[in-house]
Amino acid sequence: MEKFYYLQILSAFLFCIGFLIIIVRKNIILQLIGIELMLNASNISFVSFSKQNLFLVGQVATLLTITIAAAETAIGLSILILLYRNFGSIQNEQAQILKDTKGY
Amino acid sequence: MDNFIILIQSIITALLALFVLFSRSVLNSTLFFLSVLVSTAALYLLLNETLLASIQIIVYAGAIVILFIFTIMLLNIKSDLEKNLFSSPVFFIGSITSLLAFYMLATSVRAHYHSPNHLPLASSSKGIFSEQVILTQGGNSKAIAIELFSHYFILFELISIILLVAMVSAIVLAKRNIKQ
Repeated sequence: MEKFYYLQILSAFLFCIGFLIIIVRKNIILQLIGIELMLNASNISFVSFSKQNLFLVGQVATLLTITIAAAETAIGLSILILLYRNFGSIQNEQAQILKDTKGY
Repeated sequence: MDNFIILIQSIITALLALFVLFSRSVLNSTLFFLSVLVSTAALYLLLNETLLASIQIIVYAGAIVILFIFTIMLLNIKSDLEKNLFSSPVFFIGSITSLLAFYMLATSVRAHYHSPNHLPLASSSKGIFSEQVILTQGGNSKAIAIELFSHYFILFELISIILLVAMVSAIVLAKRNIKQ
């Protein structure tokens, strides 16, 4: 029973670290890593609760979440390459021009 | 003994996550993120989840982190320009906020596990998948596969459609040029 308690605390900690990475770091690659860290924390929580209560739902949900994370990373990195091509930087403070305000 | 090993592994994972936050170079952060994922796979192995551990290593560490490192090398990021990142007011306010969030989550988890008037889940409302049942079904992977392809097969099909859409949209986004 104790090990599930440790895993839930670890899951909460990883979630908060991912949140802090998204807030603090200005680099878009690191912000994507923060999102992945939060997804990983939710996976740990799913598996831990599912093992504790003798279900298999958490394991199935974790498989689907890993797939979602892979799709999200592919789209996020292609958006990032597009940003780098247009703004020459991957700091998120540099991207502040909308499409129609470029001439003003 | 099992509890102690899981405690040690959890502490290692939390420390590696802190290294992801505090390392200066982007590539170092990504490699520490890779080690967080591998030690999470070790946690799954300690819980006897062999299928999840191998998929975690193959998909997360094999595909996603490689994609990150490939993008870092493609964009040729020499240094990130965040010199005084950890003395800024944003870091101060953000760390207070996330400490508060961690405090709330941890107290609710602690109330769930260690409260004196906490009632554990009745055995009638628990699931049926104990270790013996999983062994008689033919192992962990087979039990998860039966569950996935019998009860959740619509979700499985939806996930495959999502992967297809993500692949097409990633190719379209990477080929497009905004200035045209």
